[in-house]
Amino acid sequence: MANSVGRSLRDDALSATQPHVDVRNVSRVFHDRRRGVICAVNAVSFSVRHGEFVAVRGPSGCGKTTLLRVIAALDRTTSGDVILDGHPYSAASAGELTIVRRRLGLVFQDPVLIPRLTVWENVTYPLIPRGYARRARRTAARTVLERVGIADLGEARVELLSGGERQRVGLARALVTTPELVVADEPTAHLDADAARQIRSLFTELTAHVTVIIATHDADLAGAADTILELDHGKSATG
Amino acid sequence: MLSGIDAVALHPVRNAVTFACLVAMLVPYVAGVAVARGLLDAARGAIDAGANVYVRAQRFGMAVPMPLSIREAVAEIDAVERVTPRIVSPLVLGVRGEHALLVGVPADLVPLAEERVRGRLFKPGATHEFVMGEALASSLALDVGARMPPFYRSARGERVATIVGVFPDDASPWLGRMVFTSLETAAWIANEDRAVTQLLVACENENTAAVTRAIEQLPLATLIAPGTGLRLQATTRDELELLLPREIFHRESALQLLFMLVFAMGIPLVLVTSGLGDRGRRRETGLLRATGWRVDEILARAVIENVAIALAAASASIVIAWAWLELGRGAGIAPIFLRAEAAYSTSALPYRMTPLPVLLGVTIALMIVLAGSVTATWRTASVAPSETMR
Repeated sequence: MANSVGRSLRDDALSATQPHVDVRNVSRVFHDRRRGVICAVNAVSFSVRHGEFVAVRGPSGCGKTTLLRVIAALDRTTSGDVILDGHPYSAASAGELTIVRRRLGLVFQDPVLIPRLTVWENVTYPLIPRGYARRARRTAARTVLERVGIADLGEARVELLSGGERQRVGLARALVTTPELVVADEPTAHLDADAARQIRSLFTELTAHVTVIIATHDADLAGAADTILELDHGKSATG
Repeated sequence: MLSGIDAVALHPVRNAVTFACLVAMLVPYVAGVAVARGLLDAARGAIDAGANVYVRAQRFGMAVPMPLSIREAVAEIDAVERVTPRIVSPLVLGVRGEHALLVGVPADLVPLAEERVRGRLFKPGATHEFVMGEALASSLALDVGARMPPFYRSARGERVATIVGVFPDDASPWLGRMVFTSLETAAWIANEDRAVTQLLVACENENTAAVTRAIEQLPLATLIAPGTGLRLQATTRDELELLLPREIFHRESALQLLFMLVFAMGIPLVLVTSGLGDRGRRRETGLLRATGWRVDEILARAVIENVAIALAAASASIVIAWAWLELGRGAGIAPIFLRAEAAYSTSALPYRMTPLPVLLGVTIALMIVLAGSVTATWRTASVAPSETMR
């Protein structure tokens, strides 16, 4: 117990001094048979404080999604490092990357829901390997679905949801593990104006509790961010 | 554990196709082996209940009738307790040429006579009374009390025969197409006066070898006539037991070969349905990885999912195979083991479900579905989630 408190105090002290996410000189190069070498992200560096809301902007193909994937431990860097709470993970093993992913909440442009499962089952799928029993998962789902405003859709099949509702389910799935960092890739990209506004307001509320890094074309969503990182041809245009 | 079983319901069409493929491959195998084993048991039972030595005559390697005088010579051999003559002859009856086997034998040697025959047994002498299996009786539209017009050519003239008894369908597969009658009637029909086709010799088990030797050394030239070319062949119960299963084993081996062929053709289909090349499965695996599932957790989920499918398919195959043999009387598979033209009926098909082939079937089913799903899952789970979620 004393250890845990000690660690907690130390963690608080650390979080005051060190960035939550530190992206250091990250590059990601792809080799394509037809197009040759593609440098999707080119020596990008930036830091994100705890609780900060960072928006990554830029034209299509500028490397936003690649950068977010690297930060979210879905992909590896070609060079450079990503450091989460002082722990670099670019050279981490597959198992260590899984541990990093468990600390994150991911929201995808297409929420990639599992068909034939209900909303609450989709939302709580990340909790299964964390050892949650069905009842505990249901309770967790109820809380998080309420938070994203679709508490009444818990039993609905995901195939029957609208685009906005699907994106909320994706957001709920990202939040159900109470992550320290939410990484979202263009969450309003395919939504109509009304649905996009609702998702925007959810993200704005979210930033009060967690660190958020979001890639977006949506000027309004980017406008709500504490920091905007502009990317152009894989390079940081913010300076 | 539960997530793996839940996963079965996530892909109902794909899993249903995998299940159906496995069942289609396993059912004929399980049923075929069960029939082979059942027939083996029945044959062994029949042999155990029969004589110690079976004597037939051969000329130029062909089975021929033997004079009844040989019976007396065999009966005089030391240790022989009883010698029963028997006439066995194939018959073709009715306008549709129904194949049957005529057996002329004393009434007390007709198998299952007392407890199973509907009607009564034939009387001794040339009474022209028949007891036949129900399969044959129904195909000839005959029943107890019916009369059969003459169906043979005999030097002693032709006679109308009467059906006095019928063996019901479920009595034994061997009786369905048999016609039992007295030795004298059979001799009349076969036009073989004072000749039989077989002698059934009873003796103590320990004397079987000596009796067999003595039979084969009988001086036929003195007993019948010199230069007949006749030779006696004595087959013991043990030899018969060795010979009969061999035929059934040959058929079982042929079935297993066929099964392997069907399996080989079905494997690619099952591999595809159980996971290989499935884009949906790739994306799902990518999503699980992205949301914090470890590779081993994903593999365990896939294994449990497919073990559940394989076990369900194997269990269903056993039940379907049982229903096929019990209720469907092995239609389609019985002829592989029981030749239609022989004196057998499939109406009481014997079968025995043994654990080994069933276990083998389950193992093969498991191996195939696991090869399809686990390989695909492992390959997908081992690459970066960003690749699989594209």
